[in-house]
Amino acid sequence: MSEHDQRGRNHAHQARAHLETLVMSNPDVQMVSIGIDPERRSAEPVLIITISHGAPVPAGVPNNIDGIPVRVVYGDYQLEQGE
Amino acid sequence: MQFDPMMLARARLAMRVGIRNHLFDPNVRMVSVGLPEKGGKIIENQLAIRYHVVEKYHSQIQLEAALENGSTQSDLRAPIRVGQFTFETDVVQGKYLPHVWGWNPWQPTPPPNPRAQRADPMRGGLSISDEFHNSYGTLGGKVIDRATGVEMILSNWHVLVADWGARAGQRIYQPGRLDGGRSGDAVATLTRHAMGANLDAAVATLNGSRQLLTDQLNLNPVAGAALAQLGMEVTKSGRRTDVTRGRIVDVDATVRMTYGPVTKLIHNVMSIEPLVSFEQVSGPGDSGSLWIDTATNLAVGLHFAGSDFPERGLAIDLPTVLDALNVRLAIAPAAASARRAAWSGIQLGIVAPAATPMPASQAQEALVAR
Repeated sequence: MSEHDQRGRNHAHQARAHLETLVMSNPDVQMVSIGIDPERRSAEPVLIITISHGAPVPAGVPNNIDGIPVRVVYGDYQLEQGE
Repeated sequence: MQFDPMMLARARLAMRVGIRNHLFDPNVRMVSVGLPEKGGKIIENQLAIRYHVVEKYHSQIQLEAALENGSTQSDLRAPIRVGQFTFETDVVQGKYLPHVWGWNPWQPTPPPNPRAQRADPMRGGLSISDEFHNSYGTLGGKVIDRATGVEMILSNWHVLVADWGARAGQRIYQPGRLDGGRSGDAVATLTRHAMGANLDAAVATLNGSRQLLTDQLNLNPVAGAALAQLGMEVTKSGRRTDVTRGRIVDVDATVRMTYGPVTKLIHNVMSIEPLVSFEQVSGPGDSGSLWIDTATNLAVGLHFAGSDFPERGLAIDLPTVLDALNVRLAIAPAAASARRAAWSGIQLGIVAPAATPMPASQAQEALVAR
């Protein structure tokens, strides 16, 4: 991995950690991640907030953090043991 | 009447929720997607989830009596939500029998699911559980204690520990209890877990009653562990959905999960979407499976959760799990030499570095189960 790629990755990790501190206290937020743009608008990885189905988009979510776009998607993640 | 394919796909997802929630109800014989019936008329432009029952209860009193005597387990009339869409449910009476002429004792019965059977030797992808919970998860793979060299089973906290009051030494069954595992099927004892490091992972020491191989049921042998990358194509072998394939679309995630009365943030998570739209990547019972890079056979994630809408699997970064548990992945000698060849190819620039071999890192303090 080139130094440039490594810098980009560190930048994304820091931005994700920053976003986590902003939104993870909201109980409707399930997950904060770095991911492939679900809207396919950016070729670069974006920051993704996954919220529970039916929940309102959390207030105060920025459009981007340090230049990295933020997207909000729905999900319903459950543990997967058979019962 | 033609329905929008997307709406049909959502209806199928809603039907899967209905199947998961109600098909084991003794009164339910079939769950389907269909046109609802209201007041004896079929509503043509609407899709509903239809429960086909032995007996339809026409009043609340009848339903409550049936719930009390165990003829049924739940009220089937609750609508099912899939994302922003709500599907009404329809309860119809229908008792279905096989269309065969008499009983043919020579007719072959379907083969039993090998993942749910007692296996000797064992391998990754089989049913497993702790001794106290009527459930099953997946035996992820064989790992070696970095300090003692002892052979262990790797799976999830909620498969091997499964209780905040669990103690080291509790027995692990193969197959899991819900697949019929009993005390005679104990193959290991719980040793430690990594929930203290916000990782849903645990290891159990083999008791020597059965051998554990390093390969995965219906997959190539695992060649080692590596870091996940966005876009990587991966495959897994799990108790519930067998071998499935997907693509990593999120990394470095923190996810909120509920474990009984406790909500935990799980770190170092990746998400996996199906390679083909509307295929399943995982289901209940696949917890503990290893997600493996299809290009290199290097394992990158420990599966622990999933979502039906959208269809996604969640896995924890495997090198982080191995470090936290102070173990290394056991690999067969042939796989090890293949890995060395692949790695020298990466260094020479011959092979695209689809995966980065696990960096040597300091083992974290072992976390002993309470």
